[in-house]
Amino acid sequence: MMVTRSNLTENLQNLWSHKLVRRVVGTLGCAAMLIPPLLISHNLQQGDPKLDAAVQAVDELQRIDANWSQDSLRLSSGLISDYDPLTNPLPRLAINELALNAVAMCPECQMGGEAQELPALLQRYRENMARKIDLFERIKSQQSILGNSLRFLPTACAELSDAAHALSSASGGQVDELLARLLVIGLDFQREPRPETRQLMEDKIRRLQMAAASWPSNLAVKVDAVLTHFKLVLEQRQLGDALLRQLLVVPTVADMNAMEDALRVRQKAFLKRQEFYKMAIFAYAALLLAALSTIGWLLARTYRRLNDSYASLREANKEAQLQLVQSAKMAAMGRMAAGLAHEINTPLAYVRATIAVLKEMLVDKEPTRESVTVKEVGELLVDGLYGIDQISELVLTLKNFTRLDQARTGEFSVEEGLESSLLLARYTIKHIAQVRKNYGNVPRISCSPAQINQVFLNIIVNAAHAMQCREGKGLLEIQTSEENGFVKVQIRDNGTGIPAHILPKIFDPFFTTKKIGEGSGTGLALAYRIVESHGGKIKVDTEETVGTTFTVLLPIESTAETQAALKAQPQSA
Amino acid sequence: MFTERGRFGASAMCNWDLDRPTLQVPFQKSCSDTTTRMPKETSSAASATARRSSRAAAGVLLAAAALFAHGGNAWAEPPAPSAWSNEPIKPLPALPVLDARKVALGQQLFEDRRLSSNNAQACISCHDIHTNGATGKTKDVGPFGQPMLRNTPTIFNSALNFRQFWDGHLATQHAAISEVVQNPVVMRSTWHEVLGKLRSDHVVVDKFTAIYPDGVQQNNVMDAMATFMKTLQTPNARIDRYLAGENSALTPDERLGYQLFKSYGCVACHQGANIGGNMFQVMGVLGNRGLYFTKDGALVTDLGRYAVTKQEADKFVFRVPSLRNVAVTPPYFHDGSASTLPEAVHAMFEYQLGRKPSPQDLELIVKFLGALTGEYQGHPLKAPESR
Repeated sequence: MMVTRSNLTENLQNLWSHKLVRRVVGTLGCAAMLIPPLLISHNLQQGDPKLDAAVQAVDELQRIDANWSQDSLRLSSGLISDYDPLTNPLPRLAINELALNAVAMCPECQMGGEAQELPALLQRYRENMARKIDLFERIKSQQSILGNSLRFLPTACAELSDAAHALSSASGGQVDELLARLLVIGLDFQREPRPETRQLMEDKIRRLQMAAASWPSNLAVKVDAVLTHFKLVLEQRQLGDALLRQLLVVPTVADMNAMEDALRVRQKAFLKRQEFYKMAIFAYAALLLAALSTIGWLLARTYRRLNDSYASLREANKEAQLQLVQSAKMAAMGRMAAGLAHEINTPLAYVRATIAVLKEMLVDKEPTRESVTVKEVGELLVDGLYGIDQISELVLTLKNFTRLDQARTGEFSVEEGLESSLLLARYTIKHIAQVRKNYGNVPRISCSPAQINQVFLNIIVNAAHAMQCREGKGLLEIQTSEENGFVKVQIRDNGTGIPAHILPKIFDPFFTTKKIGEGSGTGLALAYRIVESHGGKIKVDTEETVGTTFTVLLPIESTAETQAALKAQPQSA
Repeated sequence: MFTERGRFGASAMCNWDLDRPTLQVPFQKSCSDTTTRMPKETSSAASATARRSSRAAAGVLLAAAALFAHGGNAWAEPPAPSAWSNEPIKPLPALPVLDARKVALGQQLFEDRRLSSNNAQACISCHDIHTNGATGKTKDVGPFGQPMLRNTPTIFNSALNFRQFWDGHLATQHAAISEVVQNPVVMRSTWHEVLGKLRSDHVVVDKFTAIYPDGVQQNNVMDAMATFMKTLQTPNARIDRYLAGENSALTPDERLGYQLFKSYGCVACHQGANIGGNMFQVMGVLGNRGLYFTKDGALVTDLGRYAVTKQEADKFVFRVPSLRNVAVTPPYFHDGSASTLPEAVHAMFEYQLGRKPSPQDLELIVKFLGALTGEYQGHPLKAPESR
């Protein structure tokens, strides 16, 4: 399980390392960031135009309905002669109903109020509107009939009157009176169809019918026409009144108001949601802006850091160049010293041989000659030999120090290195300090001996200089030990110590506290670089007036890295 | 006349008698400018009846009648040409701007026999737009030999009707087209079948796709045909020119006929731009319901709008037909029972108005109806030659 998981993460990491994969993932990520605003704007647009159209539709329907209600009254009063204006809104009615239906059926618009509310209202409105239209149509038909009968009645009455007068003056008078009454009552009924008036009219009609029964047939036809139309007026006026009453109570206005209210509620809810989405978009934009500025800031920081790194690398490169020059100089000097030592060895050998022969001849062959001169010469020769031995020892040390005869990274005894360094510095240190050695018999290490010797020499000389100013003889303690695969060399002096303000600079190249001509300031810097390139560490503990301890840690086994680093180093021995 | 009428006359009454030529002198108000428009025969009748006009009862009668009529539907002013907005009849509205490609395609479909399932008839088979937009037959016979339920009304100006078909059961021409295609007596087809046939004709398909992105679809077929049918208007009828102010467009007889048309009450139903076609009315106002349908002992076969609404009040109710081009669109009525115009006008007087016109009045009205014939593509409509 664990294995598969780690395999998985490994695979993912492998995958991630592909440029293409990273690009694809990046693009997808950017696209994904666009999804929320797109969704929101989609939601913003949905339903809105439909809702607006529906509100307008209800508005127009209300207008049409109001006009119709008015028209129905005008129609009932016989004031409308052309029905086109009444039928022209019919297509508009259908179109507006479609707009309302679109909202009623639109799922995005179902918010605020119950979902089923508007469809039910619309259905109710449709039924009522259909009823109203139906009633309206009936009133139109009824009004045409009524209008025509009303129009014809005076004529019919006049014709009847004429016919009656032609028959006899008496019947003419009777007919005129009856007709006049009927017309007046009819007029009254047309104005306001009250039941009493109706009864009165029916009564008169009956009387006219009865009177007509005895009249000749040519009169009867005319009476029939008059009666028919009076009856029609009676019937159609009542019908019209009933229809108008029915029409006026069809609650289309209430239906439309209810729909309008429902739509307004929805519109409000929609606006609220729109507001919310706007806020969401705003927040999202702010979030994006923040993310972008964070990324920008991170980029700027990285850029600044890169710049710093670049500057310090340039600086380091400059230092390295200088150190390179310095170490090349040192190496040349070393080679010169080694050559010199080699060259000195030969003449020194025969000087020593010569003196040794002289001493043998003068002192050893004739020990009996108790001459003061010979004795003195002999002592002088012994002194000379001692001096020559010292010279050869010095030359040998010099040779050892430079180690031209050894491999660059070979088995090297740190303690031997310390010894030769001390020997080289003996002249400097002799009058300043007493040396106490505490060797831990550490294993040999793999390194560049010449470089390591230089490190030791530099530290020892520095220590000597630090102790120069103190009163009385100083103490230089040198200790070696083995620690976690490292050889630890501690060189402790009891000199002046390093002041805190210059402590951070002591490994800087060309930093020196010495007078011009006395030190170049490259010693410790070089030491630092050498130890670092060997994969080691160099550390300083110091206390003013008490002393300073330099600790050098060098790995016993050099790693491949340090090997490479060492190879890259110019030959500096 | 003024002195005779004087004691009854209230000047307010002068507005009701103008368009009532048959309502003669006892009720005639003496507005001199209006008497000049009286037909001759009614004027002479006026002098004949004037002698009896001094009776008090008649005076009361006059006053009552005047008020009565005023309470009714009063056509107040004489026709003042150029002031046609006061007229119950309106000129044809201008054609809306239409897509010429749709019109052409619609006409092609209108003449396409593939709309019938046996490819025998097209719309134009019964709606001959080269004559009167219908046929001369009482009842047309469909592609399967079955007679139609009712007489075919003219297709001309049908876009102006407020509802389609005699019983007005459909509101739009789109719906009417769909109905005709699927009606078993008419095209007896299905949209699936029609669209299939049309789609197999690449010429038709190309024409469709040039106009409609989704090609041959039911909606597009209906849209093209309805667009074409909108162009089937018949402008330039003499009545339109008269209403536009050209007084001489109607002969004096026709002008009188128009007055009679209005005063008799024909105009109560036949009004508006299409001179009808904007309301329902029962066939047979007078007498018992359905009298017209049972005359001569016939069995009732057509209940009109009742078939649509199932309401008792809708029995024998039909959409009032347009009277435009009426002179060239015989036979008349939903059943095509009146073969001549005088016959039809006479039936209308009998069943709708409940009165008998004088022969002269009827003739004048018929003459006036002749002025309602318009033009299609610059040619006046004409009755089909064979009946």
